[in-house]
Amino acid sequence: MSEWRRSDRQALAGEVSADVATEVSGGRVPELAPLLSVRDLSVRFASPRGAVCAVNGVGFDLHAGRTLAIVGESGSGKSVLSRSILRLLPASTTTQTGEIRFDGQALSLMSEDALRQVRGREIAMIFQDPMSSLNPVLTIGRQIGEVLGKHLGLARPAREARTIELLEAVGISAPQQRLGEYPHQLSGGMRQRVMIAMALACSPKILIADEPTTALDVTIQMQILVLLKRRQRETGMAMIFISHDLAAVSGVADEVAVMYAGRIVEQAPVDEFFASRRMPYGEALLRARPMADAFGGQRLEAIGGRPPDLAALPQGCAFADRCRHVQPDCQVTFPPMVIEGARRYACLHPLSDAATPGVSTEQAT
Amino acid sequence: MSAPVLEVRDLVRRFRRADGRWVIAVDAVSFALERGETLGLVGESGCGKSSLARAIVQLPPPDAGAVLLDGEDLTQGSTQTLRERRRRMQMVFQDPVSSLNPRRRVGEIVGEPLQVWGGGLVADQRDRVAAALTEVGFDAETVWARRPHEMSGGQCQRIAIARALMLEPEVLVLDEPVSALDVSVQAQILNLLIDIRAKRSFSMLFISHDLAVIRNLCDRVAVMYLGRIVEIGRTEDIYRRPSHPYTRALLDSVLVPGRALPEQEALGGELPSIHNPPSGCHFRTRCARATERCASEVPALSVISDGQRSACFHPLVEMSASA
Repeated sequence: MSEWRRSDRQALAGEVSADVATEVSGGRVPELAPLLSVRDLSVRFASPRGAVCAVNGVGFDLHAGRTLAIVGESGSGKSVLSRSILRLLPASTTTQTGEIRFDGQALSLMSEDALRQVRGREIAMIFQDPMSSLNPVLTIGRQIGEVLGKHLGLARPAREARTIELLEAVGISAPQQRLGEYPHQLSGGMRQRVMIAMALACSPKILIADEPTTALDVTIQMQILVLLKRRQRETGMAMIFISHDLAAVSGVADEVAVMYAGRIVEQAPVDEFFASRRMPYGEALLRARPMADAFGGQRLEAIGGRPPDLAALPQGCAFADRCRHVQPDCQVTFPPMVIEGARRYACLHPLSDAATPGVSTEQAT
Repeated sequence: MSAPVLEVRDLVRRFRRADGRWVIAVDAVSFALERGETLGLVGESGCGKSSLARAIVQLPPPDAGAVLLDGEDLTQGSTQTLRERRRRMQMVFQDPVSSLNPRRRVGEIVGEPLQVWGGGLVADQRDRVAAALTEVGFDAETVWARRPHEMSGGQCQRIAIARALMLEPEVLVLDEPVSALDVSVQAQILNLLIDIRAKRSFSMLFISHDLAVIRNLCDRVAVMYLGRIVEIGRTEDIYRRPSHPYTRALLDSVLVPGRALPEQEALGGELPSIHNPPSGCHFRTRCARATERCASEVPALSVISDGQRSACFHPLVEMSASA
């Protein structure tokens, strides 16, 4: 059972084995059924160069009130993964296989109409760039009101009162005045707050946050993360937090999943992950950042090379060409998923605890 | 100590609004950049970091104040002398792809400064471009004929650095050079700067909103808030013993891997609008230590300790006897 079978083979066979389910929960028996469970999800894009394999056999469970962080570089497939959950990718050029179950229903099999009831209402999403997700020619009040009208059928006067409540809950001062303002009149942080207010308008069970603080200043980033965590505690919603920033991830996540070349290559509870890594990519990501106590121009441990071409993935481990611990068999043998307690990872030559010391938690200042 | 390579004195950058009123983006900023030193400039977006950088390289020249490069004021003199002096100070921008001409080939882009300045024989120029490309980690032959769109963001930023270093400037101004890049690529660019800095002698003004990057790279740091420098000093002093409440709040806002998020944010509110800045100390509207005096008087940069200066009436560490 220690072998995570090659995704495309499984997709060809058109089956999702029961083995996978046990693997994903990491051998623990969860008390409750997961709110969201993804099994063997793969996404392919048609391109002139052939199929681009953006997501390759991803599986995970998400429980109510918990946060799963998905970390990786640009092009690792994390944003495609997040969009594929709600099937937001263009159907004409995308092939999506695998199973996505939300609250007992298979999103992957649902009709567009039925799915529209889930999007925004049960599972909401916020994006990195709030400016391009908000309609520039509609006022803030109108945009949030629209969500309330469509999904909750609220009448106009009730909408306005609720919109003001929502804006207050996300820390926007003088919400009454903001109703009549347009997105361009707000700062980046305010726009992200408006996006969060809109996403939380229908009290969704899951919030997918795709790099919500990447474009923001450190001070505003902390405000937004504190806000998201507070709203999560209050509403019990689950969160999928997508980021390239391990520091932000460690602040909000319960569980960390590292993605590389469309695959989850390591997943562990947040404390375990920051205590040690098994798959060298997660370790490399962490070490590429300046450490908390480093002064005066110490060279960083850069990750050489670039992520592989998703249209021509190598036969073996996709990280092999950039890995400083690479062995000959890494190039030819596809690394199966290995379960180790609550952790799982895909690496033929995993790092030991000693090789990946816990990161410094000493105060930076 | 020898005279600083770059000295900025009471630099002002202002913009005229449609209604005729003036907006002050950089408010009488002064600092010096020592020879061979890397000075970090940090602050939230909209604080005037980029306006300051552009005014220093005279793109366009500031509205008031002086920029002294080796003691010569760039804001004075003819366009011709400015052109001469400007080659000694080069800039690298945030967006690596749009700062390179998409129609040119890499070899031409990096060689352009030599063409503009007539750097000797064509064959020599070619060698110098190849050497510059090698220095930033490329195989010159391979990338020579490529165009910017064929390269990644990190590669474009290395091209921009090679171009900036082509004329062997004394000062390099880098405006958020790694902010648009992935962590792994960021590390490559920072390592490149560390390596080149060790081999050549030039000074850097490094602008970033990323405090971890600044800490790792810079000898000294200047913290900017709404057009003014509020604290400046040696990196280690600033990070270990910040004196201005704003510096403290910025440092406390930095998330560190392996550390949980606090219940409450380190600093609430947002940077006030530059169109309507608070009176006195601009930071007072977000500051827990603010008093009436902060609203009526503008605090000047005062000496806190050797080399550390802070513009605050209620600093977090005791001022030295001179204050």
